[in-house]
Amino acid sequence: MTKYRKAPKDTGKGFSTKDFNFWYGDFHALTGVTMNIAQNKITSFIGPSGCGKSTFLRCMNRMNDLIEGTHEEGLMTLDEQDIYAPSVDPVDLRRRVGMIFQQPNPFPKSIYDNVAFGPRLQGVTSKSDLDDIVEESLRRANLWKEVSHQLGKNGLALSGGQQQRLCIARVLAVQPDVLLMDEPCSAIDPTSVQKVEDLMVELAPEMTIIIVTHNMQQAGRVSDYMAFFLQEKAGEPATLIEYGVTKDIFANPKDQRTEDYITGRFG
Amino acid sequence: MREQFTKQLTELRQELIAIYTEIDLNLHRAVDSLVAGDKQQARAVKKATRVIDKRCAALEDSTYQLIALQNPLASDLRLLQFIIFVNFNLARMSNHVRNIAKTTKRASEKQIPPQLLDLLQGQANLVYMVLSATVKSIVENDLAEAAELPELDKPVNALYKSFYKVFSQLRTEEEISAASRILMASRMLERISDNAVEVGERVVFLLTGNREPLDTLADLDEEELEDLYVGQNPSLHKGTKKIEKMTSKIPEVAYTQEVAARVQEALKLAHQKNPFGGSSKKKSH
Repeated sequence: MTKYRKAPKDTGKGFSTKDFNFWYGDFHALTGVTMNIAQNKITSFIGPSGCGKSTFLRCMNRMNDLIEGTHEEGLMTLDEQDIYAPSVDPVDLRRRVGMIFQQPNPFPKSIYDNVAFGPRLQGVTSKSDLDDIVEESLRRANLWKEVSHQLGKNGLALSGGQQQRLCIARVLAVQPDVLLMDEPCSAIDPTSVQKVEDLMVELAPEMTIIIVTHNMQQAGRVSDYMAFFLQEKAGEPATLIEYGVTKDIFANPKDQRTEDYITGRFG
Repeated sequence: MREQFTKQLTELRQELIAIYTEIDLNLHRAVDSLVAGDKQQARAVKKATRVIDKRCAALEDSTYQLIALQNPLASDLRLLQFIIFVNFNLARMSNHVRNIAKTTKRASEKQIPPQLLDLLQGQANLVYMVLSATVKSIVENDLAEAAELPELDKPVNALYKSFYKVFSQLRTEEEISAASRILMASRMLERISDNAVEVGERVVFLLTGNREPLDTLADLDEEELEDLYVGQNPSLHKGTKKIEKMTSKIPEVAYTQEVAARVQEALKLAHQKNPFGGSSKKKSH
């Protein structure tokens, strides 16, 4: 039974799930996840490895569709639209729900082409329009000052932290409503972590951000809401244990399992 | 998991309770020295409180170090917050105890009306009871014990106010001068009791994660109090033998009928026109 701590209510906007379940083949990976994600806020998913947080995150833009044998039950909606309905085009969904991965994954192209890639796919052909989009996206990703003089440089030649912000700029260029971040700072240096965290906070008023992180301090620094997932026994499905305002959960978790995890006494 | 950190928290909590015990013991000695006019014991108390101050400073440093190094959250963070707050109050209590001890010397050349000393002893006994209940609530992680503190503190305040009534009845300059010393000690006792009640309020925060006033808890039954507890830190249940050994040194004091009778007698005298006229005795220190 999930414990809710001033958790967001269902407003009909943004993401909402009701009794959501997910399987990898026969393996029941997630069970009974019911939650509303606050719009234009940062929500962090925390929990030990294998607790289903990344699985759940990847369900939100149907990235798991790419894995054979997966299926889901229950309801997951974005602005009241069931995202698993046959009428929903996953490619269109992924434009609205962008994703940043643990390892920066710029295309082996120039910085400019990386950012312009999505808009071009959407049919933007005007050079001046693309220039504007590239500049604005790089500015929003706090990367413009560092790369404006070398937009033709290969994206892979940037530092790890810069590559991650380039990937964020690439997502921003298609103007998503939701940004999913799967451990976005685990492979970059502390200075770059700070820049990405600042960026998240700057972006949050304009878009919903959901971040999976193993770093409790990061979750505390950036997120407004926090969801703790746990798989109690190997082979059993993971579920949502506690969900609510981050500072409440950090200060006095209601569930002993949450307490044990965030104080590092799990297991 | 995090066994080293749990051990460090246990040690900090033990040190906090050890300091608390030292303050309680030295308060007994300070009041005894004042009532008996024992300047030598008063000096020993002053020295002891300076040691306590240093321990408080060291405990504060250790607590902040753990915050900086261990990134505490949830019950770990609450416990460290609790230690910082209580430690701050203990430093203030230590200062009050020292001031009571200082009063012994200042009062030694005065004629102290014995009834005032009876009042002070009565008030001290009430304060000891507040201190005992507070340390019990810390040691046993007991919300119910903390919830009783405001009721225990009320008679301390009432008795402190009665000192003013007595004071207003005094006529001679010598009586007023002597009584002002005792009034100061009474004020210190009243402050120590208040500090202990504030500590009790933080016990509630430590155990529930909420800042509930103690008054609101007093109305709750056992089951309702039980529901308020949130995840408990493992260090709250470790090192108990050492803690029991420390706190067992604190004398058990009750507000006995004998003490109450002497207080009543003193108060009765306070309502007479010249309450202590002719009954003051020169103390032979």
